[in-house]
Amino acid sequence: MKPSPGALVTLALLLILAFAPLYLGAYPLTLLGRVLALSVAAVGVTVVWGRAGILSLGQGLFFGLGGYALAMHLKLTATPPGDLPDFMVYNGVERLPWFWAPFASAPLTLLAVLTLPAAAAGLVAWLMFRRRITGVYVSIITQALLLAFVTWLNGAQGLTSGTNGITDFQTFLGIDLRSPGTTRGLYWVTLAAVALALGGTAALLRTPFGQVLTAIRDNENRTRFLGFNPAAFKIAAFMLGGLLAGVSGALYTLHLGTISPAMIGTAFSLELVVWVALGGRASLLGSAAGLVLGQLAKDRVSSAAPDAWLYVMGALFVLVVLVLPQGVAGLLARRPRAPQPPLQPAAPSPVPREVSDAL
Amino acid sequence: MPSERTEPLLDVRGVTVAFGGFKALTNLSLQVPPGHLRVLIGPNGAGKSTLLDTIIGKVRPDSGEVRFAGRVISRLPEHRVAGLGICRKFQAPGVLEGLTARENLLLAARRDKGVLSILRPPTPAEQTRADELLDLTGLTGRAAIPAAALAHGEKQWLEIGMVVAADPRLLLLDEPTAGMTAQETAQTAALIQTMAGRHTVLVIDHDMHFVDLLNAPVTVLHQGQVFREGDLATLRADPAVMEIYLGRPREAAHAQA
Repeated sequence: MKPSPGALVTLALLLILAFAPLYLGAYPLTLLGRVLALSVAAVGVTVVWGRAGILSLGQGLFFGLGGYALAMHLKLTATPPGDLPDFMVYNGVERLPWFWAPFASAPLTLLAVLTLPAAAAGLVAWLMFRRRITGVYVSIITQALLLAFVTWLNGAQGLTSGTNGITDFQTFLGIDLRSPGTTRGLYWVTLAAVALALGGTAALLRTPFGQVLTAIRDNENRTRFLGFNPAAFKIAAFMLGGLLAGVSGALYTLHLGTISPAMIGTAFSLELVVWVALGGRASLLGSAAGLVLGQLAKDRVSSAAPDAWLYVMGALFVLVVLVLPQGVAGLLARRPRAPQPPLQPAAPSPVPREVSDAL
Repeated sequence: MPSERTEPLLDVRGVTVAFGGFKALTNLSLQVPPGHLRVLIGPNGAGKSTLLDTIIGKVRPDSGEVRFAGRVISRLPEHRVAGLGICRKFQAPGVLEGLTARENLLLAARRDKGVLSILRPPTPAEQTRADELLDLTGLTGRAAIPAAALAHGEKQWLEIGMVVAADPRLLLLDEPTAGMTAQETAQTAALIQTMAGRHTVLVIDHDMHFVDLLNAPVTVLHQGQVFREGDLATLRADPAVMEIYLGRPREAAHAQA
């Protein structure tokens, strides 16, 4: 198959980024690594929102599950054998909680990072889409579930270390996390994950699966009457979004050396959507790039004027909604395109429609 | 025990549908034998669209049942009903706007529509079928254009193409000629007539000229019930049928066309 211009641009960008450790200093490289880790989650949002039309405002939940799964393992590895993690001792916990036990094993942890967020996303999606919940209600439910998760993390101090989050990691798979060489290695691992996420998702969306997602976004009922079960496809898309968010969370935890409820909360989940919207939610590369550039800008603005950041972000979002509904990628592409769905599709009202059809 | 041959493919048995206090269908029964073409007419509010909604599982009957090839389908989810080979063309053009005309046809032509089997690329047979239908519907030159960019008439034709691509056993057409020119209407009537025999077809329309062209048995619905059945010439001569139309001046104009 002939590679598309988008694929060639992506490849060129990935190549330039692959050599970043040679020309970037320590701080810029760490920063770039972090935001590349986040861009994996942005690719997931492109599938879930850009393609399937599901606006989830709770991706932090799946991001957090992946991050905490890895953090629990790192914490147990950093704790002397037979001892309990320090925060449990402070909180008077006397035995390792049952759900911590499997995370002593590295293979089980990696398995959990890859399956737990996807499974949770599948369950949430199954509960919502089986009942044909759509539009703004999906946004509210996902946001509410995220809030419940964050509240529990904050409250269950002895089990999760509460607002402090889990920190003080030392090694992962026997590798010292604090050595400079590890920073570079982690950067390349992250870049590989980004490449895999972009390439794998692009390949998947090029199959008829991607077409059915587009069909569901544009006209769910019509797709149903063609014999496709929209719920099954939306659940699959949501699970993919959850998987990518989970991997992103685990990578981010490695980069930062900590994870806490504040990192995965409402602000994070909204920011993710804002960057994807800015980059172009229908374009994989656009949304990943939107996130990377947005986070880099955030680093600059918030270190110069911490209070201004929220206003800058809000203004950007308004700008995108009003002027660039396709984001920057849509502006660059400038090809005739199908109309995109509104940012918040109107809630369906099945009964009145049936009545009006009947009359 | 009736033989397979005489058993109706579609068997609506005493169906009642109420929206709140309003009864859209009242104890309605209708049989269509396999391979037959049937036309459904009736004034606005007669329950035509509700009947189609009930057949495809969009609306659940409050009492009665719908049978398809001897099987009760009125409690199946819509995509399962569609999977049994019932295909409906809606009143408004229902093409998938974000996909190209060809992709629309390819999705409609697929046999396996599961979430895993969808990963299989279209088979050569499906591709050939899609290309044939592009040709038949005159859309070959527009195959790679997003359906959203097609003209209204082109969308109607594309949707008819999708319906044919799905090769359903029962085809439900809801005002298939809405917005078409006289020539397009005649072409559509000819296409539908060639489909009858291989497919069982149920058509709803207001346009008496079109109904005349179809030259098929007509069922008149009125207030959610079957009012009359017969050929169009007989029905036109029936004062009671004329009266229910004349009671609604907008429809009467159609009836005399």
